[in-house]
Amino acid sequence: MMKILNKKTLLAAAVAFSLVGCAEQGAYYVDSKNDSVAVMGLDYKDFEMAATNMVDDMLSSDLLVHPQGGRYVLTVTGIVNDTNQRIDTDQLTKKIRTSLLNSGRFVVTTAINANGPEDEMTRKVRELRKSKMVNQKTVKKDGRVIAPDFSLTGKIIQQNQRVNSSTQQVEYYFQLTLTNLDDGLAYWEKEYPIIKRGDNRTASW
Amino acid sequence: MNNKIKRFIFCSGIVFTLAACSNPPSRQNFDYSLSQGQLELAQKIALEEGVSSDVDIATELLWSLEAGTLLRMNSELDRSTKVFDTSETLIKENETQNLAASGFSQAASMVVNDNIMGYTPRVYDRVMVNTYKALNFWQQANFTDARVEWNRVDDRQRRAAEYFSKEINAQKSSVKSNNLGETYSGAMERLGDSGVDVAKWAPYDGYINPASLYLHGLYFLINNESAADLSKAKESLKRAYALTRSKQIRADLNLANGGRKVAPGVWIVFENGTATHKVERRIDLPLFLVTSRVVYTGIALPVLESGSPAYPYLSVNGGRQTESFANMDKIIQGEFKTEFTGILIKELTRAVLKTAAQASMRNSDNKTVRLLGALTGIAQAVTTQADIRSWHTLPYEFQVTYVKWPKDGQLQINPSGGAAIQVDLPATPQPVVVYVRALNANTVPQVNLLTSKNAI
Repeated sequence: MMKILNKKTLLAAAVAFSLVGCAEQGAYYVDSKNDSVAVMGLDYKDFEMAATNMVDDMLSSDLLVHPQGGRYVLTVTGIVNDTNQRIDTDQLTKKIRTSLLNSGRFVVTTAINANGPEDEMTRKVRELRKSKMVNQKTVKKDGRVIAPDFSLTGKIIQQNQRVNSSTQQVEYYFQLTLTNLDDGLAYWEKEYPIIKRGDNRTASW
Repeated sequence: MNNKIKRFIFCSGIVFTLAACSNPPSRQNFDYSLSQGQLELAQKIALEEGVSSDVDIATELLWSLEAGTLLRMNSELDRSTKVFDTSETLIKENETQNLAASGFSQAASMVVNDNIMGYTPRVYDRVMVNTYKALNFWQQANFTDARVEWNRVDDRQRRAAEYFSKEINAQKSSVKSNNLGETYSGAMERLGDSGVDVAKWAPYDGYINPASLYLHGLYFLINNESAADLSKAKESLKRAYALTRSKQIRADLNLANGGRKVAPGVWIVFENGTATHKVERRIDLPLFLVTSRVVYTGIALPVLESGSPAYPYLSVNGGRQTESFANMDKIIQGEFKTEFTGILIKELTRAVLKTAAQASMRNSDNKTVRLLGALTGIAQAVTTQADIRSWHTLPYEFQVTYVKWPKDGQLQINPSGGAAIQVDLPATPQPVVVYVRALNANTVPQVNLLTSKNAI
């Protein structure tokens, strides 16, 4: 046994094992439910947490229950990204819209928005009225598009603070407001903070 | 060939290998192209040296900064942003690199010189990377991403003051712990004798770059989307005014105090000339280090030579003239002053080590060791080189003026002593920035229009 496991063999084995340790691991799936890795920027977990928290809070409001048991029509005006990260705020609004749609209490209009319609087709299909190619009975009629009841706006703010020489604190605030377009009053508002601490040597993005 | 000659050739080879060149030919060609106004050629050199050819990813930081700036000047904004983005990745790697991992290059730099190490980004480099990206996005009317870059500029400036207070304290204790007090003051005296007055390199308060601060304020004044944005504008303009006492910045602050709606008008921002650059200054060390058997001892330090404007000013529609509000030279000098102590300490320590090795070999009884000692002296002479790397396409200064919206929608800009430039303003009257960049009198000034989000 000792002959086989002489010093040289042991050394070679140790080197081999240390090299194996250095080898790059290929791509692998992340278990999103048990993923504890944090980054200083905003990642998918932050959007998930913020959206879930916001929607739960919105749905718990009595003011947002349609009196006739119907659905409110919602337009998403937009969320300002006031952070240091180049993120797409649609990532947040999509999650919120999906959950609100699934709740059965809201529908989202894509035809009416402060910055122009999200989907131009509602207007464009009505231009087919004069087309000889299109069956005119199937062309959508005027006066059918539903005006929104509520508008969803918001902002994601970032503030960076120094904790000590080696640690920085990055604060993200997700702020959302739901305005009743009938009377201009904010029926629901929420701020959801996410605070992270980490290495101060480099910028947070 | 006898052994002595072989050894001599071998050692000489090592010496020349060690002599990392502080001002390589590519840099000289680059500077020459800039001076002749050949921006495309300069861009080609910078891209070849610092950016991977197929995907525009920065591979060498300093060159990528030059490439990003020139792509911006040559109106290739998407490429410029991409190169700057990947430059920022290199900056991040530099900021987070493990000190132990860089130990070898640190040690090697003690034997040779700092040029063998990768370029360390200065704080003003980092602020300007984000400023240029913000301007790129603004020019493309991408207000979402411009806002992010301005926020980054803000954070970079906050970190600057923190960094320098730490750095200054570290250097003070380094002079003490290395027992370099006498040598240090001796070297400083020598520098003074050779006309280098370190004391005159004074930073702006808090190591702030007033140009970036002002442009940040101007952006949020013109493109504000909320009262919070206007507060950002006021804060930056207030701080920029405190630093610069510029009449125009004061007028802009008054405008910000007037509310969110800004009347149509034109700000002419002029990025003028080329920044201060480093040159090498060699000085002899104080005498106590010198022995009779030493071939060479001395140090090489980088010192600053002032930048130069392309034009004294621009006059607009035959009336208003641009006035300087921020001097990049002062920003660079202020920052360099804080680093200079560290550079001097390192250079003195390096000279002490090299000279001691040289002296001990020259004193040996063995002929070969004595020969090696002489060669070490030559090596010391060749490898004593200052690190004079810096971002050459930064401007000398920033100027600004404002004119009301001209009725005919036309603007005529006259560089003092240069050919007039006609600028067509947008059809919709709005607050806009006409951004002019001139490297020198040999280059045609680049003129770009930065529109307002609120006019679209």
